[in-house]
Amino acid sequence: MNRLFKALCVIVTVLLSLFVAVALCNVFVGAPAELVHALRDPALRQVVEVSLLTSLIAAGLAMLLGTPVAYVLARRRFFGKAAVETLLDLPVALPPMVAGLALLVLVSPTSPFGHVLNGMGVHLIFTQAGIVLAQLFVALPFYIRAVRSAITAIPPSIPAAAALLRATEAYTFFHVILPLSREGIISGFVMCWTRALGEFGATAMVAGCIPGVTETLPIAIYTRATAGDLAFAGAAALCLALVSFATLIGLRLAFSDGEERRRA
Amino acid sequence: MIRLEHLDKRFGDRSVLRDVSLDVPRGEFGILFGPSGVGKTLLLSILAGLEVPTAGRVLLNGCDMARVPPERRPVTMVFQRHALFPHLTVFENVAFSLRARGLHGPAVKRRVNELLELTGLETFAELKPDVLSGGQCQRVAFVRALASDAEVILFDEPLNSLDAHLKTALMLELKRLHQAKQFTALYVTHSVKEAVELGDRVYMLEDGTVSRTCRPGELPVHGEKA
Repeated sequence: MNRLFKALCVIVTVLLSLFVAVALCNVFVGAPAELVHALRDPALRQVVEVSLLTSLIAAGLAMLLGTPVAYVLARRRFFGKAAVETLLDLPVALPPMVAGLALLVLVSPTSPFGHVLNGMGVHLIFTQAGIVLAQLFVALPFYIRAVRSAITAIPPSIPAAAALLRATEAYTFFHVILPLSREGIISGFVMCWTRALGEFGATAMVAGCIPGVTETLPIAIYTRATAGDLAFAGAAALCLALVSFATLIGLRLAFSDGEERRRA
Repeated sequence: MIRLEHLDKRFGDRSVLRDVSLDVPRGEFGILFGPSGVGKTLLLSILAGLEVPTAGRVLLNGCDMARVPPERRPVTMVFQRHALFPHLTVFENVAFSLRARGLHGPAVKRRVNELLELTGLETFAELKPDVLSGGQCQRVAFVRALASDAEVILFDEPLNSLDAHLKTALMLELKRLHQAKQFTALYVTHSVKEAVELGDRVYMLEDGTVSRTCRPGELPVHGEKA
């Protein structure tokens, strides 16, 4: 029975790994010459630039806005906290198309908010700023979750000790809480960034697909594949996969040192 | 000095501290003595401002602390598990309170080095807490508390997790530091030996209230080894 269980575990692991490898290889090694040609296409470079620029801005904004939110959720008790947490988590469970539609309605010139934005000269529909908004909306909960967990993991005696050593709450936040949440902040940033980089539904709803302006990697994969340009779609997919792979490797390397220390 | 007046603390229907009153005169080493679970640590947390009492008053140096946040009270605390900042070196841990009060440069260096030399910790200055032993960590915690210049230092069973030999050494060190700096202390313990070695006065906490105040020598000895 025990042997059968062990064998089954190994077989399932091997089969799943093979399935992922074969599925990815099919995309990337279909026609190597065409793929290489597509990789050199200036249009692809533009798509990569738009994707990297917007997703990095979205992740940066998530860091700026999400860190104080995560701190409040981790350290404070207040009336309606559960409702606020659920609300902030909602974009994770919400289908991206629904999130996109909600944002589209919110920022469209016919809505009061969109009207105010238009009056201030801020245009979010069919613009790169719209992409950032959509990516931020969908990816922010990932950042907040990671940082909140990191802050919650700090023993309560640590900030208490800081307060009793004359540190104000702001001083403690910058000199104790943030440094001790470093791993959570980095992994939250990376998770948020990769989620933003791969965002499709909400981005397509808000920013559409204007080549060279609002065409991101996931949108390019969809539009080019449905138009029959599988080489370009494959090249765009390769770029996304490489970023994801490099990110995973980077995270593992960055945190392996800390894990070793914890085990010791 | 420390004065508690008719302090109560309830959590819902559960009363943990009841009508607690005590006075620790300036410069004295008070011992809060009692078995586990009677609310000794809770009492220290109320004194420090980390918990709010349900009723009663906390006075430090004659001032009512009701609306004073922890960082503005003339009090600091040495925790049971030292609560050193793991990302900072020993030097930076000791300097933390000085920097938090806006001191920088040579003044900080001079003061921290002076305190580290006082306790023989100068060779550990650049090490982080994760490479120190339990005893060394607790010594750093003592020095860090002294660096805060608080007039009152609260000790929450600081020697609890240490072996008997180390306990004796640290008790001597703490006694020496108290004689040198003359701070007012309230030290939580359930060890008769610690109470007798360190205390000027003992406050016995039983069933959530101070049942008796006595001199350490008057404590009943129950054949405690360490």
